[in-house]
Amino acid sequence: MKHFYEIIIVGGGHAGSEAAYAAARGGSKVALVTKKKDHIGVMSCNPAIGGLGKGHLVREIDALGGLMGIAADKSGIQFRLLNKSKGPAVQGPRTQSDRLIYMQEVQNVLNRQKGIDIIEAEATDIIIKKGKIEGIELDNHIKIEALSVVLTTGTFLNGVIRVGKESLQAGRIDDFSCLKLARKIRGFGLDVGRLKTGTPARLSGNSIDWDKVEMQEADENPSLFSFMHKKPFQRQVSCGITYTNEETHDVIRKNLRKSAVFDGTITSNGPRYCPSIEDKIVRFAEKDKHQVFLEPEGLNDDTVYPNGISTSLPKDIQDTYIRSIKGLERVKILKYGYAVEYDFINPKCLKSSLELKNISGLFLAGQINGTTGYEEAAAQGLVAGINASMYCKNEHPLVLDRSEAYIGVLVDDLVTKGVIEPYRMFTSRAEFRLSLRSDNADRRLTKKAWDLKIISNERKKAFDRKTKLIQELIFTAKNKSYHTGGLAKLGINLKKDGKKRSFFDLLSFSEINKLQLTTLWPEYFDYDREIRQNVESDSKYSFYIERQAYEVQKMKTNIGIKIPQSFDYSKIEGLSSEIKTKLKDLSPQHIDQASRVDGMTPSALMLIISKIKLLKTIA
Amino acid sequence: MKDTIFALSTAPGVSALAVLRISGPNAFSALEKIIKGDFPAPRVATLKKIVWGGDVIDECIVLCFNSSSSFTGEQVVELQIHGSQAVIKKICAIFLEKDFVNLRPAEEGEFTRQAFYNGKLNLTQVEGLAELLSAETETQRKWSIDTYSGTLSKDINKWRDILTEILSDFEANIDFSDEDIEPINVSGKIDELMVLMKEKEDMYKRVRVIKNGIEIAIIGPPNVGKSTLLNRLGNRKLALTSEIAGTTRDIIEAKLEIKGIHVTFLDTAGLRETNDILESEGIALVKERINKVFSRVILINEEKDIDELGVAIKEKDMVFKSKVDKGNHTKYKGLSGKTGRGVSELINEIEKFLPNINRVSGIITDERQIKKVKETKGVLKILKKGLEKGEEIEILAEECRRGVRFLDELEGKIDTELVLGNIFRKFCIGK
Ligand SMILES: Cc1cc2nc3c(=O)[nH]c(=O)nc-3n(C[C@H](O)[C@H](O)[C@H](O)COP(=O)(O)OP(=O)(O)OC[C@H]3O[C@@H](n4cnc5c(N)ncnc54)[C@H](O)[C@@H]3O)c2cc1C
Repeated sequence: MKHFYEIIIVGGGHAGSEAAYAAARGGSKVALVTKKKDHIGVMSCNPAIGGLGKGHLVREIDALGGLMGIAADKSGIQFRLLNKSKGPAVQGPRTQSDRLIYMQEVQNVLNRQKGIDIIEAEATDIIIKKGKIEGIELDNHIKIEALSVVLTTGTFLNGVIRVGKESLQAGRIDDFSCLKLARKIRGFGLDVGRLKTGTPARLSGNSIDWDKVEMQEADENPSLFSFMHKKPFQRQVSCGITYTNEETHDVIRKNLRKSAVFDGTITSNGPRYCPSIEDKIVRFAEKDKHQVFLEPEGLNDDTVYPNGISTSLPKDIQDTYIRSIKGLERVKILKYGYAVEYDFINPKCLKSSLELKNISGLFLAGQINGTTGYEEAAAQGLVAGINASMYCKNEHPLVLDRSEAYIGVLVDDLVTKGVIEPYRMFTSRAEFRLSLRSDNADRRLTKKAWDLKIISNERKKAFDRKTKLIQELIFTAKNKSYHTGGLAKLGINLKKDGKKRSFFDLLSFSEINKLQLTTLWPEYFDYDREIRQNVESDSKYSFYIERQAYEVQKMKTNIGIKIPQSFDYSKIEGLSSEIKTKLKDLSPQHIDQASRVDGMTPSALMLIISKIKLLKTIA
Repeated sequence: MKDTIFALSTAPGVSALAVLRISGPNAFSALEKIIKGDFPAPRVATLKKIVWGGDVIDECIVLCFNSSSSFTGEQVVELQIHGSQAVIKKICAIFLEKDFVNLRPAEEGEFTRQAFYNGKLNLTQVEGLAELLSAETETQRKWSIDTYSGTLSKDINKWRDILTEILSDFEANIDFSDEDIEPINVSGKIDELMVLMKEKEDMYKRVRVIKNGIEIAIIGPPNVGKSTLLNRLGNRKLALTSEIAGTTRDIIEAKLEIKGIHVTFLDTAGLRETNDILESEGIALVKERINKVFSRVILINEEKDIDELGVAIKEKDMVFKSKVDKGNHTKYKGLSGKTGRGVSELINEIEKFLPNINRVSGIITDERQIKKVKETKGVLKILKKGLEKGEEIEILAEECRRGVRFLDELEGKIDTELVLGNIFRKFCIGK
């Protein structure tokens, strides 16, 4: 029996769900093939969404009509905006989620979306003919044909779990390991490597001595993820904070050799920013304590996730060191921590559309590309889903630029630099950080999503309303201007250079208070907080954003620069190999031509220009 | 495909030996065509006959370098041929023959360009090389070979390391603020870097002095022996000298290299009151110029001459009793242009005043380089002020990145991986 779909998504994790949803919104007929239907949307590790850099990703996913922000909002039980004391560009929304509600929300969204068939099975083979994808084969030997396939197998490819000396084949505890498919993939001549990650034990909340630990509350004015939501859907709870101590460290130090990572069993790279407790104690021997967050996994769930002590030590050692921590003296361990090793495919084999360079129609997204984290996975799933759909329609893929979105930075980093350790998003990876804010993700991306027809009318309307208000506010604020002398009477002391300051300018000074602003323009505060925040951020960074724009402009004036005939792109560090090949094949004569090469980014162009200029200076 | 280039690397003209250099992907196959027998092992000087069309063109030493170990990063062949015009012409003609492997004459600086292109040299090294090739004095030779071999790059790397550490501190406090990370502590590093950059700025001032050379005026009453001294220093007759006072009207120069620095001695019209209009105009000019010179040698016959000259003695001025061969009743050291007595003491005095360049660190030798240093220093000032004012860290980080960019422009590259690497090394991060 033959089945036919336009697109098959393999894996119902965060990448797979987002990919299926995006492709279906794009109008494609989608099959989501996943091993266990009721595991769709499971959070394998910590019950939280967002954070620094990651929160930006979720806002962008939402701006493009994705599901992660919606599911996170609906399940959020502790919203906290990180970096509140810093500027808006580096503030990142985060929430702890009720694990069960999150999963249900993801499943609801997928069930409601038309065009998605969920097939419960394991994909065991990929059918390729003449470098082109034809479909997949399932464990029950049924073949499904498709124009395009997206692989999002997460930590499951050749997944091996380790706790001390014990090991078992699985991509997650109590789950399976995707072996057959892994073997097939190893035969494709791709650059396959191994990475590892780990998770801590899970504790019973009832057995924790909460009186002995510090508590951290949710924000009073929560910042949600979705641009469509204003208020949390769930009751907000607090989490605990406690610390490891010398005794904890002693136990771990004495038993290091029993850890799968330190006895040499695991040799693959793990995330440096998410080290196991063993790692921390070895690498930062001088620290006498490490922070541990005690995060409830749900409103009606006794499970607590101790954030900060992931491990692959044997179970008895986990018992001892966890109970040495203040507040956890009598704690009951529900599940033990473990490390997992899995295959990943070096994303250098991918185009910026996330399609494999050498197999047309086959896309990869999520942890299989060497990333870590739900948000990174979902962002790639969204891109791969959209582009699989574009591929079926024979249209240009969506490639976001580094100057447009964190998603652009993520994809560009992956396909250009490849991966040697699990890749996670940070705000510092974005060179246009001051313009890529979480508050303006919709202003950067929603129009694009509308053009791709992947967002609802309702979202479009809300977006138009918001943009109109922002434009109106900026216009008025720029047209209200004041002499420095007059401002001084209000206690606003600025440099007396004879120049007038507009209300918009004044918004960039953090020392000017609400009262002073009200005196100047009382109606300002009639605008929604969201609208005002957008305008305030614009004002705050306007100088830097203009300077960056100027640099981009300067680059544009370089458009006529001739590219020497023998120019060798292979020697330019930082160009993706895809771009290098294209440039070599096309050998453009000047920068203008080079700038129109498919997939060319401003930063890549800048690299070429500076190389040509340097060559000239020494000629 | 990249071009293979060739050029005569020694000066044109008749000489005992000439070196022809070929560089590029076809270099080895070009050599193969013109020699018989085994192909020379890389980096081994090998005696070979150059044969073309059955004719022996020349016998020469051949040196081959693999692209991995050559100066240009390409295959390189060096032919040490006889320096005859006929030989050179003939070989070049062979290289350009139609059915020969594809070679073309190199453009100016093209070998260096290949080297830069292939990452064998960075920009400051290229500049060092240019400086080396045009070096006239020993000091210039020394510092340009230093720059060429990468001492300046080492300094820049150090600055970049410090600046990257500062940036890492900012970034750690942005990206890991929800973890128990140490607070920002960068003022010490900013100050340290400021000092290092200031040193370079000061050094550049001295470098400029050295590059342009210095001027030392010889002044003194008429007929005191200034021209004789100048002739002695210049080792030839430069100034007209006579027993009649006021013979030297114009400024006459003698150039000397002292401790690797160009020193120009100026002989001046005898400074004295005169009725001769021409001569008095000359004196005005001279007075103007001697006020600008680096230092002055004041020659006297008697101590009272100093006052009569009407010039204020400055820190670096040196007073000598002239014509010491005829005796010295003054408290000053004496010299004689005629016999040469005391001239080496004069040179010793001068050496003491010459600017010194400490070769421990890299030397900034041109405007472009110092401009980048100044721009980076400008960023440091902004950072310092920003920290005092409590400016947002993401803005300070943005400035800091600009500073790093200036250093990149000075040479080399950075990417975020470096910053993150720093963070992970320094801070214990990870919940
Ligand atoms: C033990 C552990 C610890 C982790 N720790 C962290 C951490 O500390 N920080 C962090 O940011 N992230 C962590 N993660 C990573 C985070 O869970 C992943 O980054 C994220 O879930 C990846 O999403 P994904 O969609 O790529 O894959 P997954 O969420 O792993 O989903 C893969 C899905 O594909 C299905 N599947 C796989 N193969 C097949 C097949 N052949 N046929 C059908 N279905 C298939 C699986 O059943 C699963 O549903 C951890 C993960 C694990 C397992």
